[in-house]
Amino acid sequence: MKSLAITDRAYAYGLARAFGGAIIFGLPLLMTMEMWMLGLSIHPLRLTLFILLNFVMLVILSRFGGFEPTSTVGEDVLDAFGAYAVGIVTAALTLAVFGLLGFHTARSEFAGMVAVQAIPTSFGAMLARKQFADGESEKEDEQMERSAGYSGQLFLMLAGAMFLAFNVAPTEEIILIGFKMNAWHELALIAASLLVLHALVYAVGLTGQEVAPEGHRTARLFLGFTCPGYTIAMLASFYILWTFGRVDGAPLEAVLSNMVVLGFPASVGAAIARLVV
Amino acid sequence: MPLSPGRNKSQQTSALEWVAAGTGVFFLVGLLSVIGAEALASGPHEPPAISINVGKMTQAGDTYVAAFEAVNTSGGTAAALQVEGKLVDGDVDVETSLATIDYVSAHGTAEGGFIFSKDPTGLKIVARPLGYQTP
Repeated sequence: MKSLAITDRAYAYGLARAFGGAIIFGLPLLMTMEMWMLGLSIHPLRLTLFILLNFVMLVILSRFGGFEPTSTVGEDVLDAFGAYAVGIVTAALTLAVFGLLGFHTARSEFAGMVAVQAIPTSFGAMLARKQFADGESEKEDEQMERSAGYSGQLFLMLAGAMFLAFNVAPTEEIILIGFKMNAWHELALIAASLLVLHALVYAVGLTGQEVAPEGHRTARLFLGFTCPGYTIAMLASFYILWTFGRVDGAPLEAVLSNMVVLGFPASVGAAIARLVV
Repeated sequence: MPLSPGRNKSQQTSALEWVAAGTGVFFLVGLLSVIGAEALASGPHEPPAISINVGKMTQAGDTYVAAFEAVNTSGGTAAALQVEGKLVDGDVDVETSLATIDYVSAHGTAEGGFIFSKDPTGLKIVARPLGYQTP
């Protein structure tokens, strides 16, 4: 009975941290006007798909180190639901305090607005422990090990890319920047994305630190992480543009230039995922 | 004495964790069912159906403000909704006021006001939506 009380308390701390994470990661989008509109204009099926996909990402993130230490997949699923609970409550309360939601709000508007915002807030809730890190249990080491494999690294890149791309994608500016840039600008931005991605991958040390000749290591990192990382960033950008309905009816060049624009923050997100998760 | 895996797990999973997870399931199912119902009804493709209800008239400085409520009874959202309010004396238009509403959500309402310079006492106000943008 005593040990149960202790785990309850530990979990309560975890939850409190989760609320902190939800607010930190969620506020920029909670205070973005396009995000309020998005809840109304987004295609409901695409939103449903995104909510489910986000849930799967949360489970895997929990596996790699969520807001409280876990040992089984079942616990990760529980924590993913817990993170969503925190995310939804945070989003709904914040929007209500801003006067954007109230009792008069139509049901579909309420659901749409909260569901869109619950994606970044639940993500933040799940990552909270890393941001307000305290203890160093053996379980944490175990979780770190789980993400050490190559597929784990690529998943972290995907999560990071999705998160940062999602943070900037709702704004009109992405489309405007796409219009402003010519082909040379776009090529320069692709080069810059690759460079930043590679530099960060190199600096953060995504791989297990193998001893290899410097040149060999750089080439391997580039082929093994930077190239797939950029591909992941571009795919994440496309998926998010599609979810937000920015691809529909747009000519191929416009979609590609939007992908390149969004690919830049996505690349940065992919590269620094290891630091955040 | 070694603990069985099952016993071990029930010790690690606190009651609060179940409560939090249960809350998450409850909210998620709630959101998904509302959005899912919308998806099945294919609401966003419907045109919005908007009626304007003119409410109280108040004098504000040198002007007269007629509050109105835009009510959308359809499953389609109207963005940048233009609303016109006319002050009418029998068959004669006395004054016209225009208002723009950011958006009226599906089955939602939004509020605004028409501003007139002439005293509307004894006159009629005729209001109608003019046009909108698909969000």
